[in-house]
Amino acid sequence: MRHAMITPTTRRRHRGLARNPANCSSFCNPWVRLLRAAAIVAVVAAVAAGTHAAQPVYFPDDPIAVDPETQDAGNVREWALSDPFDFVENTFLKPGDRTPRRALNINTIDEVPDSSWFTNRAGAQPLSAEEVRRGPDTTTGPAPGKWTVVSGKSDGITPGFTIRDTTGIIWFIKFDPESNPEMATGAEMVSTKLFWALGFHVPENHLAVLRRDNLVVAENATIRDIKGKKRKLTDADVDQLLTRGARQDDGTFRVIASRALPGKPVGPYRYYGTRPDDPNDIHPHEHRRELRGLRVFSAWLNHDDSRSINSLDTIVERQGRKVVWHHLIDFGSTLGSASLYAQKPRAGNEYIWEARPTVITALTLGLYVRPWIRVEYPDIKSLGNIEAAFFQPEAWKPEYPNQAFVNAQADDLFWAARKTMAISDEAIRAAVESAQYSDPAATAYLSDVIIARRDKVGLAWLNVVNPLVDFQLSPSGAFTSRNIAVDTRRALPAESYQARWGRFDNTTGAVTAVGDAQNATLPTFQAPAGILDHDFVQIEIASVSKTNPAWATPVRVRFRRAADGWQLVGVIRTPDQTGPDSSR
Amino acid sequence: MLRLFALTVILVGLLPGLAAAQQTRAELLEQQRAARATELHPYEPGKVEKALLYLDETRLLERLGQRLTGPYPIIGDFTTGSGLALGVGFRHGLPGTTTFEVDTSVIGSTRGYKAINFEVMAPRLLNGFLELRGATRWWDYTQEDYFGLGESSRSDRADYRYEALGVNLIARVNLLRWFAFGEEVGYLRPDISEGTDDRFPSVQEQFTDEEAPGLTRQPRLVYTRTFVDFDYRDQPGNTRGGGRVLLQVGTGRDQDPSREFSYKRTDLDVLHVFPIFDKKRNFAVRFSASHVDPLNGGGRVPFFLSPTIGGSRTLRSYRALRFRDATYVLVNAEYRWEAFSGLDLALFWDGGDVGTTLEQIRLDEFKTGWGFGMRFNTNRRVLMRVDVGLGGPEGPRLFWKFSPVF
Repeated sequence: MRHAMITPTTRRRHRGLARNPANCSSFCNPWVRLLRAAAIVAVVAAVAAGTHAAQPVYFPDDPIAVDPETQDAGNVREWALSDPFDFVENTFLKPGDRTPRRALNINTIDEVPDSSWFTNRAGAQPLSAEEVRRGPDTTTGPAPGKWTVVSGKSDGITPGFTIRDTTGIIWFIKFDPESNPEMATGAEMVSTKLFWALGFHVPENHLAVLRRDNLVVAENATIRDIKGKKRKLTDADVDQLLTRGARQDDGTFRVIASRALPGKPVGPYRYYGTRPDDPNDIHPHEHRRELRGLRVFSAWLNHDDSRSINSLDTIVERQGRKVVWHHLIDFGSTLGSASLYAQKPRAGNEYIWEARPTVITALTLGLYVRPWIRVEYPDIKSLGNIEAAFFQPEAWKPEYPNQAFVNAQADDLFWAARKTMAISDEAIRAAVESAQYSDPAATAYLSDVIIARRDKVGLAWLNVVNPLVDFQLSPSGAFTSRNIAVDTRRALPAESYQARWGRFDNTTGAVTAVGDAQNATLPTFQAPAGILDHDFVQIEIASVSKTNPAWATPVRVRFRRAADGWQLVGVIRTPDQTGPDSSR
Repeated sequence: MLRLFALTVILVGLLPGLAAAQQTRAELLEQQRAARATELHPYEPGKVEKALLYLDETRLLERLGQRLTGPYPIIGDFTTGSGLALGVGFRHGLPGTTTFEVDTSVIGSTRGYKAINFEVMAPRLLNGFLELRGATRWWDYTQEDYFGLGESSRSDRADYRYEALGVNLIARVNLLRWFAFGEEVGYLRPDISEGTDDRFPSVQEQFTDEEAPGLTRQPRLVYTRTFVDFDYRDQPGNTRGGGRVLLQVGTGRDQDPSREFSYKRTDLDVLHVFPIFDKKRNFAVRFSASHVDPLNGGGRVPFFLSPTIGGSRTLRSYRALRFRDATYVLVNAEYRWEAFSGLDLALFWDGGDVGTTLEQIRLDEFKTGWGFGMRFNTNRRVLMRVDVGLGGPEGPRLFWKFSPVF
C-alpha cells in the first residue's frame, strides 16, 4: 500500500474540501470548531506559560555559590598552543567576541561562583596573613634526602629540570638568573601567594636549596634539547644547566620547587572562546568574570606575561567524574622580574607591538620619548624593576592584547578591585616575607610597593561603578549597604544617596514603583509601607558625587522573601549592558 | 475529532511538564552542558598555527645564527660581497670527551661563494678560563672586487676568484669577564684566478702584478696573531651599552725562500656605545684602523690580504671592498633608537680612507657617507639588518644582512 504524499496539490485539495459545504461533515460542526479553537488557545497558553515557567528571572537556587560542572571531561585531549601564533593572533586578529556584555559566568548577585576556574577567597571570607603566607601549600617542599633528576629542559632560554623527592613527589626546579639573585624565585613566591588569595588555582611553590651533590640522575632521565627532541640526560647536562643559575656564596642554588599539579596536563587555556572538547566549558573565556578581572590583578602584580602560555589545564577527578581544572602557572615574570633579567620598563606600559608610539618614535627619530622610559627604579637586584609611583592601573597592559582583559567591563573591574582591596597590608607583607629576601630593605620596599599599587588599583576601579556593597534588608524593611570606595578611603563620601523602591515580578521581570524617591546621606533606607507584602522587592540606589560621576548610575538590588527574612538575589551594577538579568 | 481533543489534552499536560524540567539554575546550567556534550570535537589548529607550532617546537628560529648542539641552519653570516648565503652546520660533543666539541658547516651564496668549515673546540676549559679552537677551512670566493690600491677609480673595477685552504689554532685566555688575550697560529694556501662576474674584466686583465701584488704568485703563509680583547659590551649580539677594544698584532711569513710576501699587520678596533634612556636610544662610535707592512725590505703584501674598507660593516655608501691599501682608518657613528621592542632604527655616518702609510691619510680626504637603517632584533641579537647608504658618489647602496654592523 502506498502512503499518500502531502504535496502542494493535495494540500490545496484538502483546503478545498474543508470549504466546500457539499463536502461538509464533522469540520462544519460548530462544537467541533469551538473545540478546535479552544485547543489552539490552550496550546498557545501552555507554551507561553511553559516558557515563562522555564525562565524566571531568579530560580529558587539563585544565587548559586558553585557552578555545577556536571559533565565528564575524560575525553579532553592534550593540545599545544604556539606561542608565536598566540602573539600574532591576539595582536593582529583580535579573536573572540567583543560584544560589550556582562560577564556570563557570574551569578545573580554579580559574583563568581566557585568553579574549576576560581575559588572565592579574598573578600568572600576573612583571610589571615598566615593563610596567605601558606597559600596553596600542602607540604613544606621537597622531602629531605636525595633529589632524583627525572628530566631536564635546555631550550637556551629557561633552563630547569624536574626532580622526584624521596616521597615520590614530582617537583619542577627553576633558578634565578646570575644577574639578579633571588629575583625570579622571589617574584614566584610572592605572586603565588597573592594569586592564590585572589582565588585562582595555582601550583604549590616552595623556596628550596639545591646542592649539586644532592642530585642523582635517574637511569631513564631525559632532556629536551634545543631542537625540542628528547635524549638521555647525563650528569654533564645537569652541570651545564647549573651554570645558568645564580649560585650562592656557599656554592648552593636558591631555587623554586614547583609541585607538579594534580591530574593529567592537557595544555594551556586560551583567553577567548571555549575548549571545543570540554563539555563543561560553556562560557567563552573572554566573557568569564575572573579572566576579565585578571586584568586588574595582573596590573596590580605586574603580571605582564598573563597569556595562554602561563596557564595549564589538568584533568582531575571531582565527585566521581573527570573535569578540567584551570590553573595559572609560572609567576617568574611578575613584579620586577622578567625571569631571566630585570623586567623591562616597557612591560606593563605598552604592548610589544603598538602602531602609534612606534610610528611616532620612528618619525621623530626617537625624539619622542615614551613617558615610561624615564621611570627610575631603585637599584635592588633581587627585585628587578618594580615601582608604584608611575604605575597607572588603567593604562597597564600585558605583553600583548588579552581578549578577556580587552572585554573587561566596569563591573568586572570593580569586582576585581574589590577583591584586591580585600587583601590586607598584613597579608601582603606575609606574602612578601615568604620570598625570604636576604636584604630586609628589599622586603620592606616590595611590601610598600605592592600596598601602594593595591591602593592605586582601588582608586582606579572601585569608582568606575556605583560602589555600594553588602546589601541587606531586614524583616522590618531596614535596608543597609556600604560604600566600599569610601570605606577603603579610595573616595570621599557621597554628597547623598537616592533610592527608589519597587515590587519586582519574578515571572515578567517588571518593576512596579512603590512610594516616592528617598534621599539620605548614608546608603541606608526604610522600605515604604506595603512593599514588604510582595515576594520580590527591588531597591535602586544612585550615589551623588561630583568627583565620581560613575556613582550616579543606579545599582539595582533585589531581595526575595525567605523563611527568615529577605534574601539578596539580584545585584546589577551596569544595567545598560546585555547579559544576565540585564533585560529585566 | 477525538484525536484532536486527545492531542490537545496531551500537549496541555506535557508543556508545563517540559517547563518544569528546569526549575533551578543548576538544572539550567546542566542542560546547557549536556547539550554541549553532544557537540564536542577536538581542537584542530589551522595551517598557519600548525606551521608556527612546528617552528616553536623545533625552535628553528631561535637556533638561527646560534651554533648550538646538533644541526643548525645558516642564513647570511658570510663574507662581504658574497650575496645572500645559506648553509647548514652540525655541532656535537666530540665522542669520548665532555669538554671538546666539533662543528662542521657548509655554506653557499647566490654569487657562487662556497665554504666548508671543520672546527674542534673546547670553549669552556678550566671553567671557562681557557678556550681552545682548531679549525680547517676551505673557501671559494668567486667574484671578489678589486679596484686597485689607494685612490682607485670605480671604472677600474675588476674581479678575481679567491680560493684558499686554511688551518689555524687559537688559544684564548678569559682572564676576566671583560678581558681576554690570546694567540692564533695558522697556515694559509691561497689561490687567485679569474673571477666569475662576466660584467667586469678579471684582475688579470685589468691589472699587472705590480698593481696587484701577488697576482702571479700566491704565497703559502704561516701566520701568527696576538690579540688583547677588552670587551665590556652588554650584549655582543645587540650592543646597547658598553664597548670593546680589540688590538691585534700579527705576522704572515711567506714559505717561499724569497720571503717576498711576508708581512706584519696591526689592527685596532674601538667601539663604545653610549646608552640613553635605559638603552632605548644609543649612540655608537667606532674607530678602526689597520696597517700592514712587508716584513722584509723590498717585500710586498698580497693585494687580497691588504686592509680594505667599503661595504656593509665599514663604508656603507660604497661597494664592498671598494678601497684597499696598506693602511686604512675608519670612523663610524651611529644613532639608534628603538621604535618598538623588535625594531631599532638607525642614522649613521661613515668616513674612512686608505693610504700607503698612516701619514698619507688626511681627514679632509675621507670618503664619507651617511644613511639610515633598520635592525630587527631580540634583546640579545640582531636578527636582520637593512642599511641604506647614501651620500657617496656611487649612488645609494642597500645592504641586507643577518648580523649587527658592529
